[in-house]
Amino acid sequence: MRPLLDVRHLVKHFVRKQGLFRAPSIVKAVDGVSFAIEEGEMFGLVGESGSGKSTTGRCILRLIEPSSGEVLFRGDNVLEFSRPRMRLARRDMQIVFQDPYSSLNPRMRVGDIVEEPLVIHKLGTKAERRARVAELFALVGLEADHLARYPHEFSGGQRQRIGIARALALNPALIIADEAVSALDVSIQAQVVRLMVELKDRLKLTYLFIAHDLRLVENICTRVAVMYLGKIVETGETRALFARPAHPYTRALLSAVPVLDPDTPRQRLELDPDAFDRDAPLREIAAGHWAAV
Amino acid sequence: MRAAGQILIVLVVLAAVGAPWLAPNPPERSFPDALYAPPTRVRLLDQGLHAPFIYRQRLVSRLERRFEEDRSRPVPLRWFTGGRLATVDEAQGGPLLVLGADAFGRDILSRLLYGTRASLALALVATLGALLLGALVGGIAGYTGGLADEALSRLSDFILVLPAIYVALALRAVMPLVLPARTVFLLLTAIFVLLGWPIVARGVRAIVASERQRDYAVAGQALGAGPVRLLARHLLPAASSYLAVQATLLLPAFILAEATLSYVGLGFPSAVPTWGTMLQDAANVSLVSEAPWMLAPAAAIFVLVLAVNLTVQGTGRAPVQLLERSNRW
Repeated sequence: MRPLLDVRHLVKHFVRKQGLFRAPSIVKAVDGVSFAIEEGEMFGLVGESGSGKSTTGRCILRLIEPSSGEVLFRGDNVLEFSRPRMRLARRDMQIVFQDPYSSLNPRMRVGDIVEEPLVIHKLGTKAERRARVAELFALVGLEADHLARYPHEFSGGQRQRIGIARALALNPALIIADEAVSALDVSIQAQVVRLMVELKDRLKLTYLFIAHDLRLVENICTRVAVMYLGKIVETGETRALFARPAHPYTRALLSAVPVLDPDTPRQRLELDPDAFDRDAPLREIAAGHWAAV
Repeated sequence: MRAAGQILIVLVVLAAVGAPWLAPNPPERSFPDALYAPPTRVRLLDQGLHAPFIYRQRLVSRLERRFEEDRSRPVPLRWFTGGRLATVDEAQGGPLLVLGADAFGRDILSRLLYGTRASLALALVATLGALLLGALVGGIAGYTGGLADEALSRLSDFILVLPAIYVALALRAVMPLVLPARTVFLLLTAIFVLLGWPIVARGVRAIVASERQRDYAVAGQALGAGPVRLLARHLLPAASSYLAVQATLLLPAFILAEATLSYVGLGFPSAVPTWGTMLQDAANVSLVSEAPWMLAPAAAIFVLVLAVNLTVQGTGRAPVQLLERSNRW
């Protein structure tokens, strides 16, 4: 079966000019990333901050224009889309942001925020759009009489639900959840994650779930890719990867996961960046389990 | 303090709007026997309390500009006649000159009221124009970034370093000296807008550039919103309180600029009453002591500038703090 999203050799280099006479420095934020997500899958992308996971997500949506590579959505290369075609394609892929405070315009009523995608794409009449917004509000578990309020009147979890409602307004197939719950309280996190999983089943969504919380990813994602300094160093079925991490970075990352019982003997692995070859290609170490070792 | 400022502004605007009704005389009408006539005193007491009345002012010596009040006969004010608030029967009481008359015997109060219209309209239109142009240029520069941003920012920097009043003088000076009032209005508006927009653009650019990085702007982009929609719906509204502060800074500046230009004879033709042209008439040191009522427009300028400043400062925040507030939410 053809994957819903197929990312091939995605590269994003940020060039920083340092004055007239010095050579510009190049930050390789995303350095040849490839992965594929099947329809209906919840694919985790993990790594420490600065590893390029968010940049990858934004490059897929062309919120940041990638330097090179291919992003195939249902077989078509998104990066070659013309402006009107891209506009149309945006209806199929949406993003939920990390920060529920800055992701909603503080000067707009939340009803207008959720309605905006419908207005942009000229869908339905005013009354139809209003009905759809109310429906979306119910879908994400918010009350319809909150529509006329401003974002600051909501809690972080509620705001994140509003952000999800906005992302769902256009009936997308793919949702890129960019650290969508990491700014929330743990108890709220669980609620929002449960909502996202529920929505996935009800609306046949596919997720690219970008996170640094490994235990969360372990619980909800079917497959996962680990990013380190702009490269995917290991990818595979979540269970296999967590049980038998092959790459030193994955091992170090997993050893850093907090454990609830303070008496459990723990061994925190330090990562020695020189101990492995950062340019090593991914190779299949078990069925469906690839690592750059 | 803020309320006081707002009340003063409302009064000034009402004076401008109601000028034809409030003015006792037509502004261009000259009374040949009232050159430099002192203010007519409106009285209530004449061996007992009366309805407001005046004594007729009689010219005693044209050379010495001496006037005397004819105390024999009080002339009552007429209310709401001929479409004006208060007048007197000219056959009995002569002209009603509450703020005196100028060198041509024209009523200063009436000219001041009509002048408020011209000065305020010019300042308002110019302020609006500068805000619009500044928001547009700043919005484009902040949104696009890169080369366009560089070019627009350097252009506004260039205009900012020019000494504004000299540029205004120079620009006005290259145009024909005598122009119809309407042309002067447009010309001055254009000059003021040209000199005023860079200040606005610089601030708007900074606000738009920083707001653009925020997730809600990125979200708009992800939803397929084009640059026009992003700017109009999301980014420029973020600059709205900054624009409000700029308006309160530009308006008094433009009032003063009009006065300055008209004062040096490069503004409106002197027949048109504005605060500036009226001050030009008072530009004679010996006159100021003999006919101090000629300085009435200076008082008007003072009151309006004070009112605007009170309105801004009365919030307990200096403009700079208002600016900071506009960046938060």
